[in-house]
Amino acid sequence: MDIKIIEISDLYKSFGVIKAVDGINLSVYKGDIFGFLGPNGAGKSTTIRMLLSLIYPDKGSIKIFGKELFQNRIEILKKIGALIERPNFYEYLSAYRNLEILAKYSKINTSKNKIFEILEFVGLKDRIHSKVSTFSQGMKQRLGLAQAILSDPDLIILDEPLNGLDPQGIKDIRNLILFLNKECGKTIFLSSHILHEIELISSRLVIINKGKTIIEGNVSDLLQNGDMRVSVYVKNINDAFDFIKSSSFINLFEKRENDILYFKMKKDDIPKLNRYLTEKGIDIFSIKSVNTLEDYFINITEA
Amino acid sequence: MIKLIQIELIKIFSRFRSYIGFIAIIFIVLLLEISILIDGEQILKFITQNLEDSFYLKGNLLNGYLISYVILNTLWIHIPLLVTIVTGDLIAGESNSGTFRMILSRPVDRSKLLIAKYISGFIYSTILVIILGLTSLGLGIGFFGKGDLIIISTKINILPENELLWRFFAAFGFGIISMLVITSLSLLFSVCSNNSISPIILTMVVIILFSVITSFQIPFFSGIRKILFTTYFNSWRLLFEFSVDYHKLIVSLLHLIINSMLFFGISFFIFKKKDILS
Amino acid sequence: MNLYRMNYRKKLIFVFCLNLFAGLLFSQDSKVLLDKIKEKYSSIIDYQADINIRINVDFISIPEKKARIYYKKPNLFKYEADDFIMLPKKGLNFSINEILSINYSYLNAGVQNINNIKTEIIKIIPLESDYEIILATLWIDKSNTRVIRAEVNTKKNGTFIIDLAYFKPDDILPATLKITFDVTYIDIPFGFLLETGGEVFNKKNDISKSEGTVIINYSNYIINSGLNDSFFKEQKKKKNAKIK
Repeated sequence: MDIKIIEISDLYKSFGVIKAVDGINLSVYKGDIFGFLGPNGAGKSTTIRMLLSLIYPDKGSIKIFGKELFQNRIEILKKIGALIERPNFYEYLSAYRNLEILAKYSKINTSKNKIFEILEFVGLKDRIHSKVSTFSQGMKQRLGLAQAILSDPDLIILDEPLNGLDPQGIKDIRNLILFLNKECGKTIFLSSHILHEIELISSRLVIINKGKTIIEGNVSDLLQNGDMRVSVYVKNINDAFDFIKSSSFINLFEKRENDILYFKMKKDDIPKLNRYLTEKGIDIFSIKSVNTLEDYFINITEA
Repeated sequence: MIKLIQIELIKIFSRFRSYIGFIAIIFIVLLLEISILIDGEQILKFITQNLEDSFYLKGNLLNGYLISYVILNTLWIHIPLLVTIVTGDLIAGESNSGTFRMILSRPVDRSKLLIAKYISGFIYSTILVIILGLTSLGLGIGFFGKGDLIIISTKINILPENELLWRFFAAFGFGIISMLVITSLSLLFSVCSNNSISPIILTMVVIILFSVITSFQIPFFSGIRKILFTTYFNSWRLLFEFSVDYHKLIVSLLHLIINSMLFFGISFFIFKKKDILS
Repeated sequence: MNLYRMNYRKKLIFVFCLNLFAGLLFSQDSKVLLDKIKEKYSSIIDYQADINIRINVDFISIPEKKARIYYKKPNLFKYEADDFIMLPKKGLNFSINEILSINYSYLNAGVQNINNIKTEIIKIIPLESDYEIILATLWIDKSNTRVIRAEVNTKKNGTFIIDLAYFKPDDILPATLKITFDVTYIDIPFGFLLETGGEVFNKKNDISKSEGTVIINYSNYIINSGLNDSFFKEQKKKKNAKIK
C-alpha cells in the first residue's frame, strides 16, 4: 500500500486582500518524484514555504509523514531537506563552513569527511574551502542541493533547482535527483518552470493556478488523456484543407505549413481523421502525434 | 542552546564589521589619551586653578582614573552605535541575505534561535564594553599612573585611590546592562525589518530622541522622562559620588532590565508569528 | 571723694581718667603677654608631625587624609603624603611667631571664655604696609601662655579663624587645629567636562554653605630636629612667589 508522505488538505493563505493559496489539496506518496506546477503567482512558493513551516497557513491541514506539521515541527523537519528558490549562503564563509553550520542547525553530527563527500557528490570538490562570494550561480545551486541532502532526509523539497544552470548542469542535477530517488529511495517534491525536465523525471504532478489545485495525477496518465499535437503530411494540401474545412475536424485544426496540416486532438480522434482523409482520396505520407507537458500545462491553465 | 549560541558567535566574529567597533574604540581611546598626555596639564589647571588659590594640592590628579572617567563620559553616547552595527543586523541581515529560510526550514526552534541571537548579541556588546574598560583604564594607568580621582560635577568629589577599582568595575558592569537595552531595542527593530540599515538607524533615532527628552528639563516631559531608558543611562555616575546612593542605582538598573525584557518580549512575540517571506 | 556730690562734668572726667589708667595698665600687661608668647614660640626652631586632615566644605567631598608636615621658623612649611591631599592655605601657614616678630601695634580687646578657658583678647595690627595680614586677633590663655584662637584678616585671602587645642597644659604645639574660612569666592567650573544633570551647587546664595572648616589632628611631633633650609626649597620658592 502506498504511504502518503505529504498530505495537504484545504490549505488557505492570504496576504491582506490577496489570496495566495485558496484551497489547495494534494498528496505525495513515498518514492514519488512529485512535480508541483503552476504559472507565476499561482501560489507555489507560498505552498512550499508552508510545507516548511516558514509561513503559517490561515486554514487547512498539512500532514507530513502522517503527522500534523505545526504540532510536530521539529521532529518532521529532521527528515526533510529543502532548496527554496535561489539558495543563499553566508557569503563571507567557505562552502565547507556553510555546510558545517547548517549541519549544526540540523542537529546532526556530520563529520568533515561526510561534508567533503556531499560536496564531491554535487560537483564542488575543488571549491570546498572557497568563499561562497566567489561562486557562480550554478555553483551556488549545487551547494544548495548539497545542503538539502546534508541530513540524509527522507523527503527532499526542491523549488526551482535548475535555475541558473547550463545544459550540462541541468543534466547533472537531473541525474542526481534520479539517483536520490531510484537508488536512495528519497521522495522528491519538485517545482520547476522547466516543464520538459518535470516531464522527464516526475512520476506524479499537480498543477495549480490562482491558489487552487487544477489537476493532480500520474504524468503518463495526464498526458495520455490530454490533447495531442498531430501533424499530417499530405500530398495535396489544398484539397485536403478543403475537406477539413467542410468537416467537424475544422474545430481541431491549428495551422498549415507547407504540406503539413496541424491539429490538436485527443488520441481517439487520430484514426478518425486518418479514415476521413483516406476516404476523400487524400494521399497521406505520415501522421505524427506529440503530447508535451508544456502543451498540457498551457491548455489546462488557460482553461 | 549552547550550540546555537556558538553558531551565532561564529557568524558574528567571521565578519569584518564586527571588528569595526573594537578598532574604533581602541583608536579613539589611544587618540584621547595621547592628546591628554600632551595637553592634559592645561585641562587640569583650568579645573584646579581656583582651588589652588585657597588650597594646597599635592598628589597625582592627572592619573589613569581621571582619564578613564573622562573617556567614559565622552564615549558613552557613541558606544550604542557600535553595538547596533552588529546587533541590528542579527535578524534583518539574515532576512536580507535570504539565509533565514535555510535555517528555519531546519529543525530549529524559533524561540531558541531568537534567544541564541539575543545572547550572542549581548556577549558581543559585553566584549565591546570590556575592551573599552581595558583600553581606557589599562592604558590610562599605564600612561598616567594611579591616584585619587577628582570629579567636578555638582560638587567636587575626590575619591580615594583604594576605592576606585571596584567603582570602575561596577560602572562597566552597569554599562554592560545599559548595552543590554540597546541590544534588545536593535533586535526588536531587526525582527521587524528585512534590511540591515533600518534597525541601525531606527535604534539611533530612538536613542537620540529619548536622550533629548531626558536632557531637556521641560516640565512637559517630566512624566515621560521617568520611563525612558535613557534617563538611567548615566546612572553609572552614581558610583562616583562620595556616598553611593545604592537605592537610586538599583532603581536605575531595574528600569534598564525591565526595558530590555520589554523590548525582547515584543521581539519574541513578533518573531514567533512572523512569516518568512524573504 | 564723694561721687554723689560731684557734678556731672567732673564725673565724666573722673571715669575717663580711670579708663585711661586702666588701659595703660592693661596695655602694658598685653605687651608682656605677647612677649612671653613670642619667647615661648621662639623655642620652636623646627618641627615635624603626622597630621590627619578632615575637610568640611559643603561643595567638597574628600575622605580623611594623612600627611606629614614639616616646619622651620620663621615661615617654611612642607608637606609629604602618599596620595592626594588638600590643605587650606589660610591658617596652616599662619605663624604666630612670625607675626610677633614684625613691627606691630596692639590693642587689648577684653576677655572671653572659650571652652571654659579664660582668655585675653589682643588685637595685633602689623605696621608693615606690604604685609599680607591686616589684622590678627588672638585669644590667649594667660595661665598657659599660649594662643587658643586666632582670627586673621588678610588683604587677598579674606578672613579665617584658627582654633587650637592642646594635649597637655605646657604644650606649645597644638594637638588639633581647626581652621574656619570663607568659601563664597572660590569659583569652581562646575559641570566642566560633564553635564551636571540639573542642579548646580550654588554656594553664594546660601549662607550655611559659605563657610568651610578644616580640622587637622597632629601626632608624633619631632621638635627641633635640625631641618635644613634646603629641605624646604620647593616650598620656599613657591611662597616667595605668592607674596610678591
